[in-house]
Amino acid sequence: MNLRRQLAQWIPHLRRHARGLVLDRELADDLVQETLLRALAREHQWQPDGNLRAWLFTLMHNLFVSDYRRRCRSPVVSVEELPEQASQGDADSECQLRDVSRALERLPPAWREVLLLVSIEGLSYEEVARVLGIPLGTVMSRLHRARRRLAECLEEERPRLEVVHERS
Amino acid sequence: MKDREPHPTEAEIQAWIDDRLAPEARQRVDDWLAAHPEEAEAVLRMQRADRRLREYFGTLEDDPLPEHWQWLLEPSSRSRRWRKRAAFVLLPLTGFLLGWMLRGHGLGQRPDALENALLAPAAFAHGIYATDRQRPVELGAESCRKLARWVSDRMHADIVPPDLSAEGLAFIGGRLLPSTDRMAVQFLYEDAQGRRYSLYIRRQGRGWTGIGPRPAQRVEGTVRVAFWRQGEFAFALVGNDGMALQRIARLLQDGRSGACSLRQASLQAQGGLQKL
Repeated sequence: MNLRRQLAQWIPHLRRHARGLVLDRELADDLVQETLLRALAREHQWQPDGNLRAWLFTLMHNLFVSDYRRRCRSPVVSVEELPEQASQGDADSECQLRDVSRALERLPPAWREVLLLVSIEGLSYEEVARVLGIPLGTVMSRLHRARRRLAECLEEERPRLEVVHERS
Repeated sequence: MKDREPHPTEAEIQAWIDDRLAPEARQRVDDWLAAHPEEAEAVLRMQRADRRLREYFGTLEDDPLPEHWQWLLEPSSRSRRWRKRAAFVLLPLTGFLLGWMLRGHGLGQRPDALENALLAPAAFAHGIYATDRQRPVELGAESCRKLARWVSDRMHADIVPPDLSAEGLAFIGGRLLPSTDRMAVQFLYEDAQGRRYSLYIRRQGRGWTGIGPRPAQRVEGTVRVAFWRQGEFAFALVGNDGMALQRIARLLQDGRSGACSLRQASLQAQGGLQKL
């Protein structure tokens, strides 16, 4: 099966990951398109029985680092600073969506990449280490910091009682 | 029973959160957390945050691919017919099939509020009224102003049926419908071939996730629903053709004039009445 046809099945995943990385749909689609272009340009490097998903995420990572990281939304705010007040008129559901997106903005991109690959894309820790070209220990410490800060940001922004879905 | 188990490492805590620890190691961390409630609370906070992240991002959307990507994915043949066929095969495979397969895999296992309160009712109402050739609407396009006043009163908002003639759709009329805990309005349209589209509008509800300002699509039974939010309202556009839905959705988002203005040129100042 040639590369082009296999690519198609990973597009929704690539789009989802890109949206988490750059936090803007249009920019995310740009990133995905460049990733696809690069994959096709390097078709000769591609091993048909290799892990296509990991290869695509690696290409996206390289593009993110070289070009998109500085273009995505990232307020230079440390977690100790006061957060913006949530505006009173928001519908609850809008508040909830923005909270996660805003909290993600506050993670350094290097932490965000690890978190998204582990939690959302479900890669193993070893796969993440290979995709990002970092040691396993670094994956785990970034993951820890990312989740700790995510928890801090989310709890800051939501003074009301949270509905927790219990694991059975 | 060992006393004074060492503090789990950061790596172990993260693996615990991801449920990737071997049973023995998991048990050790469970025991340690039980014995250290304050520190356990910090770990549980991380776990909750992670869960919210997965709720926000966890489902794959089956947005149609941007048109300008089609060429990327087909072989180098340049014929237009090939391109159209490739697009036809590609969209259902990536969008519909993938979304459908993934739905069964428990990604986002919570009950889907958006589904229950918006998508299913919109699709269901479309199924009932769009197929009705005798009385599809409560008030027809000829009573456009009356319809607009009626729905605006009941919905407590200024609502005017949108004008979709730029996409070749004629306005048929509308009605009010119940939607779980809220009222909804349904406007019906028809194209030159007699195919019908319905636009279903209601206020957003609590706990909805997966709906954003740009249109996403899902398949609901035999129809497709494009859905998005704007201001305090949620919109669901129902039809069969995914690409058409996307174009109409975009028109709705940009649109300014209402269908009623087509009927009565002497309608008073449009200003306030344009807002949905």
